[in-house]
Parts: sequence; C-alpha cells; structure tokens
Amino acid sequence: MKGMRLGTGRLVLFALLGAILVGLQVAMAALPNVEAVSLLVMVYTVVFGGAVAYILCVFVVLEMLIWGAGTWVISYLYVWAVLAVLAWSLRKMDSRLGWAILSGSFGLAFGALCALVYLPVGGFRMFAVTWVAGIPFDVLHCVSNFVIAFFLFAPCRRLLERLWEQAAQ
Amino acid sequence: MKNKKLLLGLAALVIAAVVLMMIYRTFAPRPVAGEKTITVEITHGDQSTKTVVLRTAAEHLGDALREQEGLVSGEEGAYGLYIRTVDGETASDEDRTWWCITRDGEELPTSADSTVIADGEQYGLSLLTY
Repeated sequence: MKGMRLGTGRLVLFALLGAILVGLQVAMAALPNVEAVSLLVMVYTVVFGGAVAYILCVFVVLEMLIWGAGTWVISYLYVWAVLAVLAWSLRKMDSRLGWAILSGSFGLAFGALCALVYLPVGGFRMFAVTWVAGIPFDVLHCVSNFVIAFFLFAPCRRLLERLWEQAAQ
Repeated sequence: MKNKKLLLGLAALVIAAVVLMMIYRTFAPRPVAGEKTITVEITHGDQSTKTVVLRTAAEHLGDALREQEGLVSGEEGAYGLYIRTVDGETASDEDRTWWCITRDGEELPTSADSTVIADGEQYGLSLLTY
C-alpha cells in the first residue's frame, strides 16, 4: 500500500495527470475514436501502479462535469480500470509491439465494454444493437490506439519514470 | 519465442478486427430502397411537442430530416450531422442542452446520418439538458 499513500505532492500530481487526460480527450474529441487516454492510462499504470486509481477518479469526475452524467459514466467507471489492470499485469513487458497490441485490443473491445451497461437496462438485444452499430468505430479505435502506443508508449514511459525518480529525490 | 508470441498476438488482433467487421456487415441494419413514411415527434425545451410526418426515399435519418426545409440544421462532424437546431430551437453548450434522437422511445446509439430508416418507424427529437 506504500504506493497508494497520498501526500500533498502526490495529490497535486495525480490531479494534474488526471487533468492532462481530460485536456487531451477534449482536444482530440473531433477525431472519431482517436485518443491518447488509453496510452496515458497504460503509462500511468506502469509508473504509479495502483495509485492510477486516483488519476482515473479525477478523469471520470472531470469528464462528467464537462459532458454531463449519462450511461457512459457508468461504463467509464470500469473500462479504464480494465485497461489499468491489464497494463499492470503486463508491466514488465518491454516490447513496444506488445503494448501496441494491448492498446489496439482495448480499442477493439471498447464498444463492447461500454455497451455492457445496456445489458441490465435493455437486455442482450440492446447490448448487441449498440455494440454492432459502433464496430467500424471500434476498428478505427483499434488502429489508432495501436499506432499511438507503438510510437509513443516507450518514450512517454521513460519520460514519466525519469521525472518521477527526480521528484522522489 | 517472445517474438513468436507477439506475432501471434498481432495476428490474433488482426483476425479479431476482421471477424468484427464481418459481424458488422452481417448484422448491421441495411439501407432499404424505396419510399418510406416515418414520424418524427419533436419535444421542445418547454415540453411542447410537434409531430412531423416525413415521406422520403432517403435511406438514412439525417438525409430524411434535411429534406424537410427548416426542420433541422447543425454541424457536419466526424459522425455526420450533429443536430444543433430543430424546428427553430437551438441547443447550446452554454445552456448545456442537446438534441437527443430516439426510435420507439429508446435513445439511439448512432448519429442521424448513420441511422438506417424503415417504413413506419417513429422517431423522437427531444431537447435535453446534460
């Protein structure tokens, strides 16, 4: 639990990192399913471990304040956590192709994961209709996530690890 | 061995994407040619309603709505038409309002331009607050 302890410095840092997620999400909102949130969630997870939960909380709350509450908020409560858990389980992986595959797979599954919230509301039919309608965007999400992670995961990880080490000294 | 695993993972990802596109091509609603009649019920911000019956040969809701002069307008975005104004009432970020599209009372997961229409369907356009 050492990594989960929250002092003032970490509180500010995690709030800032959460705000960066939101800023990037809003800045790239015009590009359909091209986002840097997946990349940063993976990077934050391998650098900060379980403390990424704080950053995700900041991200979801700020997103809700900007876009309003909807069913998507419920999905946001678990989709990014799923990616964080997967990234944590693969944290020792040093292959950029491996991280690109993880990020691409998450993009491909994103629509299905988000549509899960419709299961209790409208049953399997509503889940399937919502998921199938978004498949072309999921494929686009997969490709963009793959490319972004392939080129940016390793440099972002190195940079954040170095900054984190310097801050700890 | 490690590279082999990664290449297998990459192959699995490509296959999964292809399978999903096949699922989409099989199960996504197909445009229907020919004349259709659809009903659109507009619910304004003050809860007043107006029903419009559209007779159209369009295949998608966005085109059918555009055909009726003065009914809808908005911005063309990555997902097609983003409806800003319906029947003279404009949604705005300042008021945190938006036009919600429903079919048979259920909110649609698709934009107007990617919603395939069929004869006899009932749509709703409601000004909601977020």
